Amino acid sequence: MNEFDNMISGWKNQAIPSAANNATDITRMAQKRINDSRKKHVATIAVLGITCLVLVLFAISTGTQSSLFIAGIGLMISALALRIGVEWWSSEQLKKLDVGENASSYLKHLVGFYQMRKKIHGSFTVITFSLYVLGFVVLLPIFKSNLSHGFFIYIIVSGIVILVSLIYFIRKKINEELINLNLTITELSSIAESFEV
Amino acid sequence: MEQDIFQTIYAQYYPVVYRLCLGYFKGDSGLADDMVQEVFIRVWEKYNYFKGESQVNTWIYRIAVNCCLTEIRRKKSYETRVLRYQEPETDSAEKQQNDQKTLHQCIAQLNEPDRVLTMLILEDLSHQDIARILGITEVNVRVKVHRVKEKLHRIYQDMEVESL
Repeated sequence: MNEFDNMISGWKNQAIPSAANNATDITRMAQKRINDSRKKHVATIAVLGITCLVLVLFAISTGTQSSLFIAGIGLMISALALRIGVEWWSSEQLKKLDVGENASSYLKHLVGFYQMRKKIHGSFTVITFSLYVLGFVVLLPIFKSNLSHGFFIYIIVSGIVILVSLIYFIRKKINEELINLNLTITELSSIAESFEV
Repeated sequence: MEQDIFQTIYAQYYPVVYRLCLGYFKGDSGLADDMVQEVFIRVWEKYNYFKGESQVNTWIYRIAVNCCLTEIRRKKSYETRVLRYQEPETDSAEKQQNDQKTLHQCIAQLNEPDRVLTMLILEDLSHQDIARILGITEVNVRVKVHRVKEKLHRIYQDMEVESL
């Protein structure tokens, strides 16, 4: 055996420092992480859900039978409901990823998941956001005929400001996320491919 | 998962997972500690889904390998943190420490898939076990093991020449 082989055979004899955490600490951390993740998930859905509920209550309270009103409010509610549904579905897909499967399969499934997230951040967000804005625009003639001129102008101006701010922040966030996702997908795909070569 | 089962698993597999993470993270004990913690959190979380289709040690190796390989996403500072080889902090005898240091330096020059494979080789796992962990054929494992050993040996020889 040469020196290199000796060195390799000594690998398992290297001194291992005592663990920074004991098993109880680890279980506590795991439990905390599960709870935090659940809370975060519930919070996201709650925010969207409450907005959705407010819109539904608003629609009921006005008692308006106008088809334009139903179309507008329906579009806004559908956009939010769609978003909630997709976020819930996405988190279910994440839970289904099995970190205990072999590396090749795990990497493929993970890349698939990130590609799906890319679609959600990209075209899906644009579609749901557009639906929401379209719903608001459809409601404008009703606001105009039922509200004072001043309040209508206020709704238009504040609506535009909120819309522009939202587009700016959502776009910025999405771009950052897409850059990260693209980098991750490229890295993980190349690792997965290298196992097969 | 029952606490006593987890305690047994933790005590038994901590050294193995630590060595694997330390090698993968180029001797950076801080990153290795973080990753070991992550691996065992996953073990605890997923134990109830463990179907027993593979042995527990294969399952734990798979989790450790998958966590290491996907670290890129979790820690964005990954590249800057492990860009350079870091000397392992061990209290072992000097000769052994030097050997480990040299070996870590050699491993640090490999890419991620080769580092993972090297860790599994150094743990004396059979080709069959490595194939089960990585999800590739045994023939493929044999070829890769041969290649990575050659690479390591070449790196080692280059280092020897440089140190003269």
